[in-house]
Amino acid sequence: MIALDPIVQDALTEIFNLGIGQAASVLSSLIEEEVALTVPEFEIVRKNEFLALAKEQWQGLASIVRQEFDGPFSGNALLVFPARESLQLVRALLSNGSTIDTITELERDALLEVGNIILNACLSSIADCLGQEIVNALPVYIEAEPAAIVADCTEDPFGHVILLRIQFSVQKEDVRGHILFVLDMPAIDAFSQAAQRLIENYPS
Amino acid sequence: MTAIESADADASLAAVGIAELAMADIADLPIMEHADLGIAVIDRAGRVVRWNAWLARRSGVSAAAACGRTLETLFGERLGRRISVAVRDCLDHRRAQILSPTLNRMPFPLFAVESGQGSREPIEQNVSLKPLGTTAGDRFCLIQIADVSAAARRERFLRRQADELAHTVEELRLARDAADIANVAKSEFLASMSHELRTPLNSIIGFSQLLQIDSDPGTGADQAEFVGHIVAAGSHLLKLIDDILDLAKVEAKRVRLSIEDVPVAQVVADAVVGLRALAGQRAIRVGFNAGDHVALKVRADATRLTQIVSNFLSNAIKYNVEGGAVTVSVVPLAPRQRVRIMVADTGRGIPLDRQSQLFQRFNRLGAEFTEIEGTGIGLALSRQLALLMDAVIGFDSIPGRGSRFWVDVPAAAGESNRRSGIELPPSTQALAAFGRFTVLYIEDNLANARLLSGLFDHIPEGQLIHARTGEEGLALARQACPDVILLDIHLPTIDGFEVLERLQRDETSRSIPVVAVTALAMSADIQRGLAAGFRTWLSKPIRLQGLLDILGALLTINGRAGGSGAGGTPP
Repeated sequence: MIALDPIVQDALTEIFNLGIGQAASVLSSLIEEEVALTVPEFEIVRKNEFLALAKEQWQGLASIVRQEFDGPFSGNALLVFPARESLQLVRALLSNGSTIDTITELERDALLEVGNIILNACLSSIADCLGQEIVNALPVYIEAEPAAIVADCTEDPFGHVILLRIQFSVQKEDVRGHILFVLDMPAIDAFSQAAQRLIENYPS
Repeated sequence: MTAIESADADASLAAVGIAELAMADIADLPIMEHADLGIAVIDRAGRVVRWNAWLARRSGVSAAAACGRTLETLFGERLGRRISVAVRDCLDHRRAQILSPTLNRMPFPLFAVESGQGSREPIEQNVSLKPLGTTAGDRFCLIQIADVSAAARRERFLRRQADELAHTVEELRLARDAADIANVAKSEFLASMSHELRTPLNSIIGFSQLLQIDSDPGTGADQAEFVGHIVAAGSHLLKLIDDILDLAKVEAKRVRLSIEDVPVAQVVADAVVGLRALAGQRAIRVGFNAGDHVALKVRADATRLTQIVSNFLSNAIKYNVEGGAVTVSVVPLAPRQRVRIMVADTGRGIPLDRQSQLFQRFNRLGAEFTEIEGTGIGLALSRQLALLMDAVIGFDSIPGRGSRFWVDVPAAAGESNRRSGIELPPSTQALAAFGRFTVLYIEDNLANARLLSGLFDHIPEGQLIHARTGEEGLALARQACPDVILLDIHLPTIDGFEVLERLQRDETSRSIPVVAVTALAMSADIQRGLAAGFRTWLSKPIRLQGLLDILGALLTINGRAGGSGAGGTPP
């Protein structure tokens, strides 16, 4: 795990929460229900650390929305839910009370849109604060083991993963998931420098 | 390069040849106009700059009418709420976006063209927005709209089906639970009802047996025959009630087995003895072929296993041809640690098309139209009992030649080839050899007492004394010192178990063998009785042969050795 300057850590937490708050309000108006989204914490870990951790704690298939992005730093943004949670989330969002025990095609489309909204909002928030533009491609939906997808996102052995824990509250359901930004070494450098500049310009 | 790769290369070279010729023309082809997808391009100012034919037909807005206008002016209120914001975000921040059909009802007001002009069939849409252009220069938003109505309809249909299915499953579950409860209630009713039926049957069978034995030579042959019918019908009814009671108990899961090491030969001997009379009537030879395996032991409940073998035997005799043969054989099945007890007959066999119904309750496979008596419960019950003992029942049958039924029972652990003698009950005449003896019968029901005293009329050496209550019985036991005490379990004031305990405490009565007499011929009661100290039990209705067998056995054990003739009433 990479230790950040506590001020940087605080500033980034705030940026992520701003973004995700934005996403929550978009989702709320979409489904006309209160949606609460928070990022209680985040950390930056080396890719290999993450793979070891994932092998231990994230076994089994997960529902993953993957979006590539490009800008001052480029990489992949992933929204990851364990399969059961993703079903729980999408059913709470669509309030369809379905009894089918696997995710349907339309539900997968909905989950893809939800992932797109959340990931875009986070990228937006980061881009806004850095005063630079981050462009992203269309999202794709994958059911796979998170470790396999992260390994696929970057071949750089010095790559890093920004790991955000997120918590959804919708229709009295609490669903936990993760947002992952997978960056290669140059990208994480660019990100750190941008974050550092942000602090220097931060009104104290 | 492999063969496949080179073939691929040839094919692509050929394709390139064609492509080179057509390259210039393709760039000019109106591909967008032929796409099976809605395509629009919006410029930085939010104005439509491209609007393809697919979109024009489904929106009712021509390309000419659309170009140069914003989506908001084109559709006003009918434009989905999120689409404006998303297009703006795509243009301003170059962010690709997706609008899914379930979360966005009608992003664009589009209607199906297949259902004719002026159709109001809305199209379910999957919309994606992609930024085009460079950071510095012109920026555009590419909108692609896919019609997913068919998929959405299919999914709604599937969901409805799944919901209905889940609902049906739930209903079935409730119905099954209700049926299970009803079935247990039925079984409990049958169990208690059967018990109530046994009591009056005791008197019917007992007294008609007495009539048979006592029949005055002057009585007409007709009357003797009538009495014979009463005894036969009563016995049949009793068998039916016993079977129903057993089956009800198995189904209500109220059967307790006592699994122990049981000598197979004993089981077969008990079953054969019980059916000797029936075999005699039909002149059927019953043979036992155990070879070297005569001493094999199995893990089973002796009573229940005997019941199963008896059932096989009784079927083999009943459905045999007059003068046919029945063979019982015992074979160890080494690899499976089981012992097979098999009953083969030379009967009519079972028609192939009815073999699958063999174990159905009350299904007699057509025998209900013949003179052969039966209830159709035996095999169903046998199979249930076998399952409880971890035994398996099987059969094969050749119509016209005979059937074989077997039960594979787990072998006793450490089974040795030790030979065990088969104890056969003493014959009727044997009792005379014991000299005079006294039996005390403690029984509150006068009809039963009268019946037993009727039976004793046929045992000149035996003297029966009768007590109506436990207290009276205890006093008589001390006074008369009987050789055997027959004790009813259900007595007023103090019950049979209490009487037994007091008899055992008393110095003078301690050594007298006590036999439980009960209508509750259930193995649990029997087990409890034997554990309490009863030597054995006699189930009601008391039969002469059963009584003689037990008295013979007890008097032998008590040292009243047959043939001494010197016995008398004990001091």
